Amino acid sequence: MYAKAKDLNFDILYQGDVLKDFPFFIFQDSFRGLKQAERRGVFELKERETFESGEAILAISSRLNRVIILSQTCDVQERENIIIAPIYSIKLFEDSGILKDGKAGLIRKRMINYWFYLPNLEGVLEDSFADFQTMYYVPRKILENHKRSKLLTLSDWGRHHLGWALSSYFGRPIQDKNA
Amino acid sequence: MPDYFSQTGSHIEIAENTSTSKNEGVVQNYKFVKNPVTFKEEITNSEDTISQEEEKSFYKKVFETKSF
Repeated sequence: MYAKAKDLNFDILYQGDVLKDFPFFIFQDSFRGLKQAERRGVFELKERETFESGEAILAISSRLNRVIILSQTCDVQERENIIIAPIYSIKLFEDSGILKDGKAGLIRKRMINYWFYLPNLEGVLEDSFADFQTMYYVPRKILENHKRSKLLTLSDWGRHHLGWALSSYFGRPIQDKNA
Repeated sequence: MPDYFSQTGSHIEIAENTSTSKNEGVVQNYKFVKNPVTFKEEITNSEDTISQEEEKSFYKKVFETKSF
């Protein structure tokens, strides 16, 4: 699933790379804006009323989080924007009672198509999963400033697996249980 | 091998009247059988799915936790 530690390349970003401490956006149920005059104070943004000239400054929370790069490796190196998704520890949600009655097992068996399982890698990553449902883009230049935060790289097999998981998530291909 | 690695041929366009040695060189019309792609949930047992309530709790936890 993962490339060997000695093969980690901090100069190049690949599809499936996991970065730590990346400021990941946390969107709320509604958009909040910053008051234009003093640039401080947050208020709820109603429809288009504060989008002067079609633009408004938004206030969005962020949290340092581990993220996985979902864009294809060529796109990571050539395109201007990269798709990422957050990674969460399974244990956290088991301990808090959210994933109970063996539901975490569904993730490990890869039966939840929007949560991509990332097995434990001793000393690097505990049993975790990437949440496809909250993926979004960041400019490549921002990501390149976090190259040194790379935790791990998927092996060729792992990357292949990720590609299929993404196609399954977006495409819902028919599954033939007899195959 | 995960299920999603497998394929089924049911939605693949099946070409009929393909060229044979008898009609080699003759342009044939192809008749495509396009069975509609069907989408279904493979998992029908509720115990094997994440419920809406569990998913709601998950995102509540995700969005309210300041640090992981």
